[in-house]
Amino acid sequence: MNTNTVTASSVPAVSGLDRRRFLKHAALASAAAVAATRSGLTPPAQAVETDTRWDKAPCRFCGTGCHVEVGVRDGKIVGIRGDAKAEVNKGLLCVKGYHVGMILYGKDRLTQPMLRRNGRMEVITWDEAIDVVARRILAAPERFAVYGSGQWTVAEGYASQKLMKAGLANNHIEPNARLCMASAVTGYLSVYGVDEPAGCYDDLDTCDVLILWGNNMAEMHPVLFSRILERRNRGEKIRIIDFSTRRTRTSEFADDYLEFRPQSDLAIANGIAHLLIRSGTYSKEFVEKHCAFKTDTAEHTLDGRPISFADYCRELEAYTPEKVEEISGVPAEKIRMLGELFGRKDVRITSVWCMGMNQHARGTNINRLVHGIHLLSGHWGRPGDAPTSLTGQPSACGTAREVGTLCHLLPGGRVVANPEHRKQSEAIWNLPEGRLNPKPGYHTVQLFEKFCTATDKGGDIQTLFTQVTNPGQSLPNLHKLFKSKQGLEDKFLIVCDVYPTATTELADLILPAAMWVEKNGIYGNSERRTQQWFRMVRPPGNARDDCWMTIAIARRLFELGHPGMKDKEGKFLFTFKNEKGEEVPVWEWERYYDVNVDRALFEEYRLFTRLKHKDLAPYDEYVKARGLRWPVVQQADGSWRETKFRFMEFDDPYVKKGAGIQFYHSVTKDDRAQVWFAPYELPPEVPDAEYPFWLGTGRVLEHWHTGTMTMRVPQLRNAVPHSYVEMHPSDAAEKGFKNGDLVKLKTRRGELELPLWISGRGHPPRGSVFVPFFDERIMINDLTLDAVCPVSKEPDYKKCAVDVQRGSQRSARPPGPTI
Amino acid sequence: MNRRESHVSPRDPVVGGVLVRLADDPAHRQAALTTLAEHPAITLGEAIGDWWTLAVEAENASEGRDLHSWIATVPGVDWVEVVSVHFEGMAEEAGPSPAVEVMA
Repeated sequence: MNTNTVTASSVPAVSGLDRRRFLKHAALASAAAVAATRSGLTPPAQAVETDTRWDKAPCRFCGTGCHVEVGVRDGKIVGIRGDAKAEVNKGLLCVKGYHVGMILYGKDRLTQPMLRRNGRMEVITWDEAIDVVARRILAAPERFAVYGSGQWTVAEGYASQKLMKAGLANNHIEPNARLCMASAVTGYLSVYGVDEPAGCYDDLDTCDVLILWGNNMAEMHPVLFSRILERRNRGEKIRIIDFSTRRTRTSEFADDYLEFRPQSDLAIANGIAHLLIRSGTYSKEFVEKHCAFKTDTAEHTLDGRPISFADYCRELEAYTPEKVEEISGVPAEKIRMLGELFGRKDVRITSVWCMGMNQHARGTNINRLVHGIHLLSGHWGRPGDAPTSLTGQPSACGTAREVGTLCHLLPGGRVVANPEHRKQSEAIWNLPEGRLNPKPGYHTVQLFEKFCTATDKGGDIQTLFTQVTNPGQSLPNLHKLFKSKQGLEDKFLIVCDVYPTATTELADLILPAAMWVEKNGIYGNSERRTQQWFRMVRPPGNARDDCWMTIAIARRLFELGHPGMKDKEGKFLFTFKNEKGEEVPVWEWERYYDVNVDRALFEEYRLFTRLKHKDLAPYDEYVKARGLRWPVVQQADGSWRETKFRFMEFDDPYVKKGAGIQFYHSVTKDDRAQVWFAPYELPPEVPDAEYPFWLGTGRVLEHWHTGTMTMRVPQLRNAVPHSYVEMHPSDAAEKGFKNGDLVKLKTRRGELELPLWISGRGHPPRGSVFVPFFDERIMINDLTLDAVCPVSKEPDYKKCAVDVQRGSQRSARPPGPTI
Repeated sequence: MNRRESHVSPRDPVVGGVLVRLADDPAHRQAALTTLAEHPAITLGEAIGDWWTLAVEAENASEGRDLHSWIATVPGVDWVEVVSVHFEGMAEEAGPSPAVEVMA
């Protein structure tokens, strides 16, 4: 080889290199470490950088939970590398992941609290800002609401939950995770009696068939998809079946691409179950031992109605392959292929899904049905045989679902409506009996309706406090659910964020926040893995931790005499002590890091986690690990062991010996999971003469959610600089559109002009268009529908009716992204 | 708050650690290695398991992205993964969101 060739082990001493040469050697060493880990070899030693400190953190973006190593020099992030020690990503990162360090350094970081006075934002002090919030709450505690996030750290969500539910006896708190995974929650609850997947990413390493239910994994969970493709590269056979309403990058790698009409996945799942019954290839043993049956009802409740197996079979009779083809557009022979596949015992099948199934007017039902065909066929309970939902945010599981920041929950899977759960929570929080409010608060769509409706017309939420989220861009039907706040004089919007956003546009008070490794944190990813990191750099200007803000507000309320800020002994709800047992006033920012508030809150929260067997280890165990999957149970030797596969005797310590599989949170109290029937139903809005196209929305690889972080990273922004609409070439030709033309989309809720991208990255079928939602200049959620799943209350962003016409202007933009 | 301004500042080099998987065919592999090794911005590392390690050096982020794309097109390269980015100066490139660009 030529003179450019070096080996990682030949890295000479740092002092003998110039900076650039040293960085090259460090890069080779990182690559060697990852290559060795992925090849099952011992990683070589990394080059020692005396001036750069490296520490672990989970990536800030999606729910995959990749670990990165963050290099810090002179108080600034200077490098990101995939963490070869992390099981999730084994050193790999996606294009967003290796740019994650740059999200801190947008030039327009918010650095000072600002209050709107006479229509203008004016800089104020933190003392003033905290006082303003506290006095707004004190004026009408029951009309105050918090809207948080699946990007909240566990401690942030827990503190906010405690302030609201324990302190104010107010359940109007929601995370934005309501918009992305609430249907997965209701699916798990109604099938297994407890939330979150039984399997984990290890299933991806052992399945023979991977079915992607409306999940563009190549773009949305690219590191997990690489894990699959790497198996193929190693020569393993893995069949990928891509169910989708449009061709995506994922489809390019699929063995079978099955395009279905919006909402008809319900019919397809029923069609598979129909064939399993008809052919007798369902697993009689699994069903007899482990399953009971239920049906959805006209009232669409979480509990449904029990039915017999015979009733279940009768309900499915209508879903013949031909009928399913008629409804879905998927050929009957493909439905038969799927029925035969699930009927085979010699293959392992993993189903995964994300927003395609969750943001669905019948999101709970399609979740139930997919779990159902796995249970019915017995493709459940072995590594590689699993139905698993993926999440889109880094702590949708950890903070929204486990901490329980949804409006009906208490920590650890408890619900506010259950007297015993309230009693347990009051005991842990040392509250007077009866403090907790038994009535669930408003779910997200209701909450914003109430906030954006005049008080004298029933809009009984007056002050809304948002943290770590951007509802001004991410809510559906934005004119109704967000923009109509404008002009409502008695409504007050408090926004904590790191950058100006569509939400700060309407804010009355802006609080500048620290982000990611500017603060301590804990996230919980899609596979029940709890991940911890430490603060590595300081936030800019006067930006501060979200958790500190919550505690400081609580303290100000305490000082102003709000009785709820005291426990039953009169002590402040957020009391922290140092190692000497001295109380530390962490509500004073200068003292906040005198103790590890995250550790203290986490240890308190841990007490809640055992009821539903979601046991967490002590905080310090997570400091040592690249995350641990719950339940994490202490062993006889004092060590802590994670659980990869729940309800399975070979791995889950809570399964009774000899049971094999035990659904120990069964809603029928007999250790059985529920196999549901739910019919195909029409979506709430379908194309018609006036609005003849389907509109679907979603994400792209390079941008994360509303783009507030990724649009500030030049590499990502330049890759996909603006939003666009994808359309089938024949539809475009019929309308006389060319690539790059500006077109107008119009729904019953609004209209929007944006450039057309024909035959680009995604390929919608005839009669449908697709628009990503990351671009704050092209707010597609002005047009989307706010209809929700009746059980989960999650909105359906994936289908509504739209008209497409020529735009009023010519586009100055290039036709679609530059890649 | 001005959501329209844009910043680009002086930059330092961008150095990335990259893994490539090469084709099975020995001739294609050798051709790929030769092409990669001859590129002045690429330092070829070692073969570990199925992978070759590379250090990729660029004057700025945009050039780095182009180089990454180019590697993927080299005959005999089957797969490219970026595993690290050292971007000491790149943070200076980060700008505000291009919030309210007007369509002409």
